[in-house]
Amino acid sequence: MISLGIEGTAHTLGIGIVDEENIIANVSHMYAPLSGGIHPREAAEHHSSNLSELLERSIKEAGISFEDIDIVSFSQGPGLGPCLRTVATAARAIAGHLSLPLVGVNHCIAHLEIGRRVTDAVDPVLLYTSGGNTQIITYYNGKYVVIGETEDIGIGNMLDKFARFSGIPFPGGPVIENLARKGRYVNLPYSVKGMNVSFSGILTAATEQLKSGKSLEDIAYSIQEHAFAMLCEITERAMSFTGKKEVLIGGGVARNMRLQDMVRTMVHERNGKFYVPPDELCVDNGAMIAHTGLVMFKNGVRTEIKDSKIKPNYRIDDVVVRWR
Amino acid sequence: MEINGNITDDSITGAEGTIEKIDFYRMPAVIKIRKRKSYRIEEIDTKVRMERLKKEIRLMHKAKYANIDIPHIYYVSFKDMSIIMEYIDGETLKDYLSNTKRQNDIDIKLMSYIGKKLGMMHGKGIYHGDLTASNIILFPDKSVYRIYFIDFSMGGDGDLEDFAIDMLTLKKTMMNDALFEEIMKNYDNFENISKKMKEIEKRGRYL
Repeated sequence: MISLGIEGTAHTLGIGIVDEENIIANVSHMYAPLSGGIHPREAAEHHSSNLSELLERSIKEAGISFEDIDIVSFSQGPGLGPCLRTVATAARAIAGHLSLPLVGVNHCIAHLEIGRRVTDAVDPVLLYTSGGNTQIITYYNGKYVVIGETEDIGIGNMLDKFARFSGIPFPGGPVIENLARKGRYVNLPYSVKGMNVSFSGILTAATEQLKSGKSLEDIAYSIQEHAFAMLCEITERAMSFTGKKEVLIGGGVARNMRLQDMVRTMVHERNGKFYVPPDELCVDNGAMIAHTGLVMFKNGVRTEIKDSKIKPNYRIDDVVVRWR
Repeated sequence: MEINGNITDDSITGAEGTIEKIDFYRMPAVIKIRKRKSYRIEEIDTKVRMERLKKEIRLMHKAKYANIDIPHIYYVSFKDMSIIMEYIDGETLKDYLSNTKRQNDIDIKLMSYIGKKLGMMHGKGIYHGDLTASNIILFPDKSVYRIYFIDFSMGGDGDLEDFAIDMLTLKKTMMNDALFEEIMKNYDNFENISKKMKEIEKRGRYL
């Protein structure tokens, strides 16, 4: 059975094609603003103008024809409204044209499900770190729950904002990671509140430090050390609370090697197991939507047109889980 | 460390640190040590452990002045990031509730008393930050119980939201809504806290 999945919750438009065994295509195109952050309308325009080309590329990469597709999956939320609408419209059009069933997928759950698919993780705690999202997610008492999360901005958003302030173009994360290699310690806030974290204090303090003349390398290093340690701490607390021994990371920031090292150290010290999907499956991608849609469909889930409305604030605990 | 202590019991390892039962100058005591976390660089690790240790002591002190029972602090070492405190030979609320022999004999008055104490603590602006049923110890003192609160390191000076999260944490970890209602009944400021609790539960973030 072949599932075509379209991802488009934020800046990345991705199309993936999977069957039960393999990811047979996974292509994407990212909207990168010339200046400033993501403008939702411009991102949506980017998605609509790149969709048909990307769709053809995915079919070509998979070496199939449109008639071979069995279901169409799409990211129904959470995300930016205009982007979600563009993707949902495309999904409905393709499904309608080919007379195929539609499956609306929760973006955050897709990050976890693709991790379970491509690593040996069975029942992990997911540390999901991206631009807009920073959450600790796991399957608990029959559903997916957020055990801990940011109380203000996502970690990627914090890194991007700091990058913008210091003249680094979007996305700033990889540049900050490089600068940090040569940095030394500067004091910044460390903000953990129970199971939650917050990043706006670090952002403010870091920009102040930069204004006062501290080197960009030192600040980049200290931002990473503080923010990542906070994430490790709440991940450890989530392991302790749920009694789970596996940790999976996902989201764009999960590609950061320093973050990976720190989480690995923490998990190994607790005699747990640590899993990282390949880079192209950490970031937003179509394959994770296609895969999750397929798993859902095989367990009896489909999304009627009338229920296919986008859900910009889609919470994972609203998802009825039939596949676990 | 210049203490006259030897370990008498197995240690418990949480996410924060370890707790061991010891003798402290012939008094039964516990030592809580915040061990170094190797994923954190030393500067941050020392800063965080020091902050938490100070916060715990400060809040215990403040709670005591609010007429809340807490274990006496015997000794604090900033070098080892440890606190030695009185060992309370009681039963945690969690164990009390899960003791099957007691199933039909749970003291409702005790629940109201817990509610009253929590109302007092929150009334003084203190929130606990990790108010699980394991962090409340019931200590039989003659014919009545004394209620001890332990492990304040996630707490602080809070507002209604913090207090409501305390209550929700307790509700969830008690796993007995009827008994939790008994606690709520005697909680000062009952209406405001209930409203806030519903609001937080609706946000769905709460586990």
